[in-house]
Amino acid sequence: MRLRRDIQRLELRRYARSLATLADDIKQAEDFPTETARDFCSMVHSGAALIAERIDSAPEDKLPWIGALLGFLSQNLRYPERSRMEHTPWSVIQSTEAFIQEHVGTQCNFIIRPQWRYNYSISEDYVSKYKELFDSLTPWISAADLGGRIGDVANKRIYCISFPRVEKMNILSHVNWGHEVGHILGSVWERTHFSALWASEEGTILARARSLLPTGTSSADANLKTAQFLDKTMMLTKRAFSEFISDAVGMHLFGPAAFASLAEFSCRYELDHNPAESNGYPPWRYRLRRIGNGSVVPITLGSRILWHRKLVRYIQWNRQWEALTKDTTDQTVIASDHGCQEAYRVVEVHWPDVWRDVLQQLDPALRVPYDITSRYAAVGALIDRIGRGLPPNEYGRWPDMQPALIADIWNAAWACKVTRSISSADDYEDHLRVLFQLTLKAIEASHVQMTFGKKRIPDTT
Amino acid sequence: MEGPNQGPMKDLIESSRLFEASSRMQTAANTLRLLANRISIDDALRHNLEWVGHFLEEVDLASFGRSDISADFAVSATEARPFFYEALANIDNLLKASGIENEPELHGFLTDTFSVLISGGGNAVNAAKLSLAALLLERFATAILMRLNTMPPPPSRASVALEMAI
Repeated sequence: MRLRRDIQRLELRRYARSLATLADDIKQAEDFPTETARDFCSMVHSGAALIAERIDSAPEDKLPWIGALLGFLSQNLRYPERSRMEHTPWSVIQSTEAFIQEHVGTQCNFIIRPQWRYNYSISEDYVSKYKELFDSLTPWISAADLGGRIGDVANKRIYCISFPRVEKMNILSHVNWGHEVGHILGSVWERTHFSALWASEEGTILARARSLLPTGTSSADANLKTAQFLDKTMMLTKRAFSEFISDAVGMHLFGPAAFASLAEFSCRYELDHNPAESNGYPPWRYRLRRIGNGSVVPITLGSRILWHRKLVRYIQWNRQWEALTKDTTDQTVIASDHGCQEAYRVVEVHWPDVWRDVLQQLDPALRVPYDITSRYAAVGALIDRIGRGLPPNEYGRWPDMQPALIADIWNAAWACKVTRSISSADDYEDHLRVLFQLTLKAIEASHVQMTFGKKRIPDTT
Repeated sequence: MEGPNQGPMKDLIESSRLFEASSRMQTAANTLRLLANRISIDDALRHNLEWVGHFLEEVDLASFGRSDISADFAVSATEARPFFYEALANIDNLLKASGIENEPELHGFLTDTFSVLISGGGNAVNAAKLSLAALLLERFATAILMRLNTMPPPPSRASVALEMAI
C-alpha cells in the first residue's frame, strides 16, 4: 500500500534525525571517565544522520531492514549514557582500560557501564559490527560511507563491558572483568578460526542428526529437524568455547582471584543445568572443574613456612571446591542431550589447539600465566597493608616502594575476604565495605604510580 | 557474550552476517522478478545473485558434502538453515499448485533455482518458476529479519532460574 510505504519513509527519516540529535546530546555530557563514550556517540550520530540524509533514495523493499538497523543503533545509546561517572566505580575505569589494552591492544576501547541484570557481560566490537551492518545495505549505503563520517573512530574497536548495578563498589567481584577480556580474545578466535573448525565437524554432526531421526520421518520434516539440530549444536559449541576461553583467560590473568570470584558468582545458580535450556551456558560444575584442574596451586612445606598465613588459607579455600567438582552430575546432564554431547565432544577434542591459538594473540611476554607461587612475597606484603588499614597499592621498603600489580592487589584482597573470621552478618558487611574501599583506592593509586611515578622522581645519581 | 533473554535486536550484534544474508536475499528475490519480466540486470545485481546461490547451496542439505564446505558460509548457513526449511514448508501449497508435488520435483526446482542464481541469472528457467523462487527467497529473507527484529519469547521458568552469564 502506497500510503503505508510513504509514512514508513517519513517516520524513518524522523526517527533517524531524532536519534542523531539524541546521540549528540548524550555526547555533550562532561562526566565520562574516558573519551570512548563520546566516540561511540559520534558513531551513532553519524550513522543515523547518514541514513536520514539518504532515506529518500532508499530502495522501497529495504525499508524494513533500515528500520531494524535504526532500532539497533537506538538501543546502543544506553551504553554511553549509563557510563557516566556517577554510575560507575570511576576511579578504577582508567586503570582497568589500561590493563585490558595491555592484553588486547591499544586500539581496543571500552565503555564500562552498570546494568540492572545481575550479570557481567561484554559486547562484540561495535565499530566492526556497524560497518558490517551498513555494508549489508550496499549499494544504497556502505561501511565506507560511515567510515568517511566518523574519522579516526573507524580504526578503533569499541566494546561495552557491563557489570551488575548492585555491585558497583564490589571491586572484588569485578575480577570477573578478566573473564570479559577473555571474551575479546575469544571473539577474535571465533571470527578467525571457528568457521573452519565447524566446517570440519559439520559432516560428522550431520550424520549424527540423521541417525537420530525416527524411521518414517517425511523428507521435509527430516530436513527441518536436522537443520535445527545442527543450529542448536553449533550454538552450544560456540557458547562453550566462548565461556571456556574466557574462564581460562581470567585464570591466566589473575590466578586464584579469578577462580574465587567465579566460584562465588556461581553460588547464585544451579550447578548442573542443561546448556540447551540456558542459552548454551555450560554447567557451573563443569566450568569450575575445568579451571580448577588447570590451576592447582600446591601447598608445600616451603609455602607453609614462607607464605603469609592468610595466603595459605586462601589457597586452601580455593582447593576446597574440588570436593564439589568430583561429582559428575553435570556430565550426566550433558550426556543425556544429543546436541550437548556432540558440542562438548567437539570442544574437548579441539581445546588444546584453541587455547594455543588464543594465547598466540597475546604479546609473547604476556603468554606466561599469573603464578601466585612466584608472587607470594608481594601478595603477602599487600595482605599486611590491608591488615593495617592501608590501601594495598605498593610494597617494599621506603623510599624504594614498588607499585603493586593489579593481579597481586586482587589476590591479596581476596585472601583477606575469605580468611576473615566473622562474628555476624553486619560485621562481615562492614569488613567488606572497608576492604572494597582500600582495594579501589589501591588499584587507582598503583595505576597513577606506574603511569607517572618514575617521571616525577628526579634522578640524583 | 551477553546473558540470556536480552531485548529486541540484541541478536544483531552477533548476527550481522545473517542480517547481510537476509538483505541480500531480499535483493535477489526482486532481481528474479525482474528476470521473470525479461528486464535486464546490472553487474551488482548479478553478483548478488551469485552470492545468494552459493550461500543457498551451503544451506540446502541435499547439496551438503558434494563440494568442500566453505568456511566463509559454514556458520551463517547453519544459522539460516532452519529458516530456509520453514520458508519452504510455508510455500508448500504454492509449490504443489505449480506442479511440484514430490521430493524429486522439489529437488529439481531447487537445483534449477541455485543454477539460475549461481550463473548470475544466465541459466534460463521459465517465468513461473522464477516467480516461485523469488517468493521462496522473500519468505526466507523476511523470516530471518523477523527473528532479528522482534521481541524474544518470554523466558521459560528454567531460563529465569539460570539467568546469569559471565
